[in-house]
Amino acid sequence: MKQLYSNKGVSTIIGSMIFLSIFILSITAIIIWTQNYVNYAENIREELEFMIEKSREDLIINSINSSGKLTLAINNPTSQTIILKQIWANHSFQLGEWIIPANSLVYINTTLDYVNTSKVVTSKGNIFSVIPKLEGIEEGIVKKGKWYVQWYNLSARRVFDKNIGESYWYDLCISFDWAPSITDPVCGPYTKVGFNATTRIIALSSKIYINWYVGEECRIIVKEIGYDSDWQDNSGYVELNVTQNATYTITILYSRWIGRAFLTLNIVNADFAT
Amino acid sequence: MKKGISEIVAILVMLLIVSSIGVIIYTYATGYFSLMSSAITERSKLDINTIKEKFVVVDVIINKSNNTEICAAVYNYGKTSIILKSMFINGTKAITNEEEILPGEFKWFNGTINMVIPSNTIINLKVVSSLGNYYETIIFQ
Repeated sequence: MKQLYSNKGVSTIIGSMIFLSIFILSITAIIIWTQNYVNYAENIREELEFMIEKSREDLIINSINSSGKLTLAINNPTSQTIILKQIWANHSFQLGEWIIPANSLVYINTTLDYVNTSKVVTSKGNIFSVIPKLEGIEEGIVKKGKWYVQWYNLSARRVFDKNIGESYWYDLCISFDWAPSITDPVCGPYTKVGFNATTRIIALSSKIYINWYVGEECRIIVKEIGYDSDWQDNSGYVELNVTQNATYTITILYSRWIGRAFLTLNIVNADFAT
Repeated sequence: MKKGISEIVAILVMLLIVSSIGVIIYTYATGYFSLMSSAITERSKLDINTIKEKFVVVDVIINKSNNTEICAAVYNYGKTSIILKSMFINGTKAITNEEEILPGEFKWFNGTINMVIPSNTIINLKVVSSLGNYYETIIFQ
């Protein structure tokens, strides 16, 4: 009997060892699977973070002809630093690393020949098109929830010669009237004035209407859809097809040489982007 | 005495059978779990690489003669190398050579199709990587 019990003990030990081994194996396998899924989930989280950061990148870029070479005036209106990796002009390119700090304006001199169509590529894979700078006008700086207005003294009709200051407007609709035949200074000592007003708007519908009644002339530019009304006098309106809830950069240029100075400009189906 | 021997033999035989079955189960379980673990690890690695792969077509040059050659500048802005496998021009697979692009670099990836695409038409360009990711763009000539 003692021998019988002893043998039973041996088989119990062997069985237990085999069971324990298989149990440990299965636990190990489960840990490995779980770890793999944890790694996968962690990578997805990192990628989502990257995608969010990528979608937050935004640049407003003007190209300037500097003695035949391309210079870029780059405004970063976002709260994150953006790194440029490539600058393309036509099919030529320049590689490098240009850091554009948050909420800042940076000028980049390139070795590329000046062309109208150029673009930049960021480290996060975004591509931003460059629009040529309007002659004689400082590039518009975008401010949230208001118009940023840069005033100029005109040396001729529509020729923005000397920057004489800046101001803000807090109403999306612009309205002023400086009397029928003003001879007194309208802006400091200047009577021949113009301005460049820029803001960001959000489209509340798939169509935006902009109407104006102006003396002498105004010009409306919507960067993202490439709309440029050219110089307009008297009254008119434009219907723009846009994407609802998308954000657009709008610039209003105004030129007053000798005529009556007034402007009423309404933007319908839009609000300041915040 | 005879009874005692047969009892011992029976126990030994039983031990042998149980041990054999146990070893077989253990070997099978070891193989199964290691195979499953390595398969899942490999699959997980592949999935992670696939989601980490990021590229964009930043510029395109179109050359036309008897056929159409498209040169696409592809920028790898991800953290892993990518291997570009194929290119589709308006749904037609172009003749290409495999191209590896390291993280942060860009390379020209060329594809040729044996037909001339008329001017003033829209070209739908699709660049596909070895992991099945693709970037699609529309080119206005």
